[in-house]
Amino acid sequence: MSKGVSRRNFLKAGALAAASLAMPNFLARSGVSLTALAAETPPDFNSSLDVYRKHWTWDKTVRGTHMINCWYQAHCAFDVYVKDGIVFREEQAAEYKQLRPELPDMNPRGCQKGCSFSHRMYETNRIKHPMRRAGGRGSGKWEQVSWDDALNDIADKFIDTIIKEGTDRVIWDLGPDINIGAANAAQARLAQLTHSICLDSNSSNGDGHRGAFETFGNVYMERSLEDYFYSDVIIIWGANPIFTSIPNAHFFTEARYNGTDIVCISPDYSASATKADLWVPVKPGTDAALALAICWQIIDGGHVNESFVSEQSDLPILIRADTGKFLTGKDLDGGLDSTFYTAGSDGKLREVDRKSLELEGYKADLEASLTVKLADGKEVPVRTVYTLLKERLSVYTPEAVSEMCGTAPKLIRRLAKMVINAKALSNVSGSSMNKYFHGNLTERAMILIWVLLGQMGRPGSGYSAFGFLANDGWEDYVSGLRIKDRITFGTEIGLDLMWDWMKGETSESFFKKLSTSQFTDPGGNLPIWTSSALFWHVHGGVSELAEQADKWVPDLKKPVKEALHESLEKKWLPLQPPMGKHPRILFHYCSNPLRSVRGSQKLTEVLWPKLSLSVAIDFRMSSTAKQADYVLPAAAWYEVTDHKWVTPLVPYNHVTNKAVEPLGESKPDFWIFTMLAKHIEERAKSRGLDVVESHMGKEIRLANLYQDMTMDGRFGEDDLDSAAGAILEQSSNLSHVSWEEQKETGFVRYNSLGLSPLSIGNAGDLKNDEPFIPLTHHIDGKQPYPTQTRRIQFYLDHPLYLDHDEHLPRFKAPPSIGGDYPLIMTGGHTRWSVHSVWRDNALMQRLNRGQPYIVMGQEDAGTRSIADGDWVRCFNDVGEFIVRAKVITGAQPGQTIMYHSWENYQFAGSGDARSVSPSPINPVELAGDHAHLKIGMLEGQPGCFDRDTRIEIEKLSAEDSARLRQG
Amino acid sequence: MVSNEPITVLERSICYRGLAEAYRSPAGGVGILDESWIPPPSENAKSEFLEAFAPAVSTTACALYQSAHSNREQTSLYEELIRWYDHFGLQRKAKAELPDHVSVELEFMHFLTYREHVSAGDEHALTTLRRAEKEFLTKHLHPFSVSILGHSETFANRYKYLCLEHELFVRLHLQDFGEI
Repeated sequence: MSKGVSRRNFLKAGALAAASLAMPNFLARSGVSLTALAAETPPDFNSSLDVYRKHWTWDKTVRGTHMINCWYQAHCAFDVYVKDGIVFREEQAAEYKQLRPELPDMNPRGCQKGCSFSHRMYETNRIKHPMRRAGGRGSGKWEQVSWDDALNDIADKFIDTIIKEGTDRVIWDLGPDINIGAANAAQARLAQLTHSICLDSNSSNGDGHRGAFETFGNVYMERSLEDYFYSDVIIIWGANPIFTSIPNAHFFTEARYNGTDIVCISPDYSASATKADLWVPVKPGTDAALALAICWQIIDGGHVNESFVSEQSDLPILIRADTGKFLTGKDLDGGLDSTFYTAGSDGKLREVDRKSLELEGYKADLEASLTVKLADGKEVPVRTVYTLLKERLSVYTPEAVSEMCGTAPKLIRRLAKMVINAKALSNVSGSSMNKYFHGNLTERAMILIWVLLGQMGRPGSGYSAFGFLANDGWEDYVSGLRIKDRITFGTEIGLDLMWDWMKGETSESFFKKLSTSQFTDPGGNLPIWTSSALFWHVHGGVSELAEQADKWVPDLKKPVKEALHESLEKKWLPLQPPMGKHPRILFHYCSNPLRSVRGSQKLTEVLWPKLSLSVAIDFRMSSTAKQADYVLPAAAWYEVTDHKWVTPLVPYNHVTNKAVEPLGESKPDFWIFTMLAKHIEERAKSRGLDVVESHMGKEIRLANLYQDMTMDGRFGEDDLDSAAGAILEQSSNLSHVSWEEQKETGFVRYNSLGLSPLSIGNAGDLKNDEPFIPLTHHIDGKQPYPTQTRRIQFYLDHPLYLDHDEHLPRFKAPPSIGGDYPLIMTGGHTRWSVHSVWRDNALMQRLNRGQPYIVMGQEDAGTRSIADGDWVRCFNDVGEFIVRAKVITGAQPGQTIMYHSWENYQFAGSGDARSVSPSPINPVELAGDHAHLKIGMLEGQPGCFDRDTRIEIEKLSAEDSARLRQG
Repeated sequence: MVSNEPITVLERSICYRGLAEAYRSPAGGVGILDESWIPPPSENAKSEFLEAFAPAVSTTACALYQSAHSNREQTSLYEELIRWYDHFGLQRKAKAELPDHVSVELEFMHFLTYREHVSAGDEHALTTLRRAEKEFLTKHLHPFSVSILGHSETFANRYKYLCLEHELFVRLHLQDFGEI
């Protein structure tokens, strides 16, 4: 009998039959049985100090990284410390090689977010078991189910949907964290084998760099970080790297050792502005005016690099005065409408060479103005793009621009002088400008500065837009074939390539063509993609919020909805499934649209009722997972072995190694997709189904799906490691180091850009011992650009651009999106979050206010009697949300900042930051049927805009504030 | 069912096992724990269990991890608990729950009390084990149990009583030590 214990019989009758040890969580460290261990003499124990006497050792340390989209700061190699199957901590690996003795190195890479993942993965909102909704959607009622039950039910609904309504009713909503590694390859392979639809999230993220796309036919251009050391002037514009690129930021400040000046152009006195030599404040959304003022100073002061713009850009190309379109061969002699002309000083026309930029001594007259006789006998005046540009820019004097953007004329002149005198001028790119309605115009104006000065393609010199660098074995894996092997003479793709080559196309153009084809009719067993922005607007009902856009945007030529329908009807932009065919199944993978999509409140109202199934695959309960029918627990990043794309800024492939087993019943994404294929196959066979036809007429081999998915068993559900290795072994730019070695080192430098459509646009030579400089294939190698004119193109003669007077760069004031309210709601990432994965991490919350807040200037707060920390209601014509106010001195009057990524459930009340952002589509971004304004992977799609959102803010009543304080 | 019979060490060990199982799954521990003490699972037990104990899905749920109830840094708590388990020869299994999950701490008490049972007659061993039990309950499981109980008011019956009786059981055990 136990000493003095009494009182209750807690045990069921017969429970003594369980009088043995039952310990599912433990085993004996010595290897004996638990019963034998219990029978041993116990160790001495006098106090808990005794347990601390043994020296602490780690069981192992592995290299890891984080499969999150940190974008410009991606990625960082970490050492991950493991004890007893638990990740305790991580620290930066700091073993990146210094390229040259004079250059700063990459070490150490990592920030506080990465350093907190060991904490993040064990937080209480980690999902450990498959869960099925047990009440209404979003009711919060769930039940734990087995993997078999979950996958069988999902497989049945999958089969029902594709049989009854078509394969295009099944949608893979892919977020920005997809890794272009094995996990994502398995998802993509399942999508291509079933002809279901993948969403390209770049458009709805608002990261499209539309201005770069319009100008270069390509958004991918980024240098490696070391190259900043060679810049005379670095302009931080549309970015805030001190917040968002923490491991990169030291390169900018270290460039000062080389005499570099740092300029920061931003509305607020941002964290990056505090580190700059010159801060140029500008009203939100007016950066284009400032850029054009600099351009005018360049032109007016005679600083244009004429040889550069003549060779590389469309500025010498002739435009018809009567139509505003390029003068073409078709106009002149019935030739090709892809033949364009310049004129020499003798007035003679010369065809623009489509195969090379090399001018071979020819000097075009930049200001040519002449009359030409057309094939139909008509005589029309023609002038150069440069002439038209010069006329347009003449109004952007510092004094006039100061009225537009609020920057003092003296400061504009000082900035222009710095820029003009810089021997090497670079920029730090971010994705802020894309989130303004007229962000495309702003980016075109910014690019014009660099091009007019010829500041491209040299050490420390060049414009950066969008960074992406990926392996090129991924598509091979997804297709189950080697694409490169299939590009041979005699095959359809090979013949297509040969024809393109004869026309003067480059490999860049060819792979971009492949990229475009994935949105229409992908050959080569690749998945079908569709623009997420279009998808959410059309199928998600977001466009309903923008029905008042005509009131908000002053110069729309027709209602946005009408423009959207026209574009879809003309097939300028493909949409899957097409308008009128409702999506039925949504898989959310690395995605959280109910948090991230602007105007996301419409999704649950309009789209969710159409869905027969919504499945969230995640390791934590996101806002979207809360509204799903099933939540499938994914393994966390230290629980899998895989690799991740990067950008040229950090041109190293990064690997994460499985440090510990997945927690609970969670499974690697790769396992989930492969097992879903297996269950679909099994359920199809049980129904006697063999082959069904896809919406595009392709045979979907349901009864062989698992066999096809695994490539005849080579890559089964437990073969993630070997699949990840196979992708790299098939990659031309990463196969120089074995997979085993890559796992051990955790990072390996790419040896070339490779052939991925996501990388090839960087168009430079990536070497082992030199900083990477983008676009040198064009600038030094004279390869034409993938644009209509094969030049860097500032003139767009598409009807939509002509109609909206956007055929040349110009400034348009930011529209009043959301209604006529006095405050503009800007935004950005903070130090403590990139996307929502970190937003509710307790450690990160401790480093800032830990709950949603809106930043406003002292003056705006004062006139509204708002003090720091007050509860406020932010509202406009389409919605509202409640947050705390953070009052600062560094914001522009009229500017507020609603930093990004708070989960919906972190807001008090029903609204969230997206509730006020209707994000109407900019009609020019609906353009199509054009040589380069066409959809492609991560580019050429309509964007999403929240930075021009207008709001009013009011302080909540004392009663409401007290209630929220208590709640 | 109330009894005045003192509980045996073995019975206590089995109770710890039953409690550990009850926190592990919706119907855990049903073969062990008396139903007059902790009601049997209802037909909605699967969702009631998640509503009670899964903060990921319910804002009113109570996390079953000690680190969520403590001001201590998570990994420092893990380290201490692993040291406790290690001191008594135990190692966490690869697919185990985290070391601060209430079911793991209860399982550890199941082990210590079982060991106490098999050490009957060895006074040195018994003293050592009882010191360890008392200290572990004092430093970890009892304050943790009190905190869990504080969140249980809105739980479905089975889980409300589970928290209530679990705290009572641990408290009574602690009281029984007196001065060691």
